[in-house]
Amino acid sequence: MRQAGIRNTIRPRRWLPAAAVVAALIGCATTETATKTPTPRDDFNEYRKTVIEGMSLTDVTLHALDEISMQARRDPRPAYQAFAKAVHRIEVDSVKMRARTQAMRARGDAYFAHWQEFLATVNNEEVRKLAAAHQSELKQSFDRVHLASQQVREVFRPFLNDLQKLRAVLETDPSLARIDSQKNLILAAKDKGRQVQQGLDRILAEMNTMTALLRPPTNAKH
Amino acid sequence: MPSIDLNRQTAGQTPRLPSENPALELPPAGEAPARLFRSFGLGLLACLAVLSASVVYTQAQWMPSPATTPMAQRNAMNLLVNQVGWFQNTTRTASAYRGGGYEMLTQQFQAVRDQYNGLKSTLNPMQLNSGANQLAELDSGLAIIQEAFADYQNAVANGQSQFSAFSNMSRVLNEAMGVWLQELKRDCSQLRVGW
Repeated sequence: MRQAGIRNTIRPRRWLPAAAVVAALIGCATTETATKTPTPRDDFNEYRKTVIEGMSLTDVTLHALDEISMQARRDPRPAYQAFAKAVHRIEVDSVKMRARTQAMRARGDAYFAHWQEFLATVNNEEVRKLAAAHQSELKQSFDRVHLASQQVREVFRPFLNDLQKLRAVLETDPSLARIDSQKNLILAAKDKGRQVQQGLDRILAEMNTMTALLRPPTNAKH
Repeated sequence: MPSIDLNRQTAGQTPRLPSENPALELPPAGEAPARLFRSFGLGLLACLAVLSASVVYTQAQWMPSPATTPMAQRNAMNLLVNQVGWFQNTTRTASAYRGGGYEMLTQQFQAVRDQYNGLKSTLNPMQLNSGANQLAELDSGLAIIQEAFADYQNAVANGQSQFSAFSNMSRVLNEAMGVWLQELKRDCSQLRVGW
């Protein structure tokens, strides 16, 4: 009996290691997917910001192009340096906008679907409701944004080509004679630049329309 | 425990006392608790075994294939960041290499593309789906940056000096790749790459 009593006290302890192993396995099986879930990106506002940056870049570049013609009779070299700097900036800083436009073209409606996904997860309940209520209008605006983006994309590359060609030609000799010989190229670049500006204006206008659709009405009590 | 009806008799049989019924025989003194614990222990062990097996099975179902683990993603990300760094360094020093700078840059750019594709292959389905826009933009970004090589060729064809055109190209590649890397890091943070 005593022996059995001793055995009785010992045996339950035998299961402790197994229980510990199981407990550890259960612990390992616990997932922490909540922290690993990707957060939706605010594509809408990101794209709007990129468009505004693109507009500023284009404005600076066209202004620098004007300055070359205006300063040609005096000392065009500083104007040329400013122009070359503007071309370099537009080459680098336009990559983001061009990449987004190209991605939009490649993904089409699926690109917009992600915008909607973000809108569905916004903290503001009123915005979520407005996004759901104005889904078809938002889609129509997106289609216009998409179309305008393609038009900008089609004219931007030739615009950049003209700028780069002008930079190459004027680099060694930014004299009045050389500038005068390139006036057709300068005019063509300005024309394309204006088309880029107009396209970006259209995109921004549509995005402002979308913003207005998602803006909760102001509370009269406030 | 079956009851014994002493009044019920079958022919020729006399009722047996519980102590005479083997089925009802009590175990020897001391052995009862031992048997009880043994049964209990075996039952508990069986339960634990089933529970462990189901946990392991669940884990096996949940666990992603090794190529998409957080560690694989972190490794791929580190390789890519390093490759971009080397590329950027090369853009700053390539002009010193007579005739070889252009080839070196094109090769290193391709290496960046390869590492980027390697990183993408480690992403799990949730990340690929959630980050589809970002990944498309990063893809397009690399394609646009690559245009700098063709721009260099055009600049030389338009009369710009090779040195000057190469210098322009290197600066564009260096800075544009820096912007691209910033976007990559931000996107990877949003997509919880390597978490």
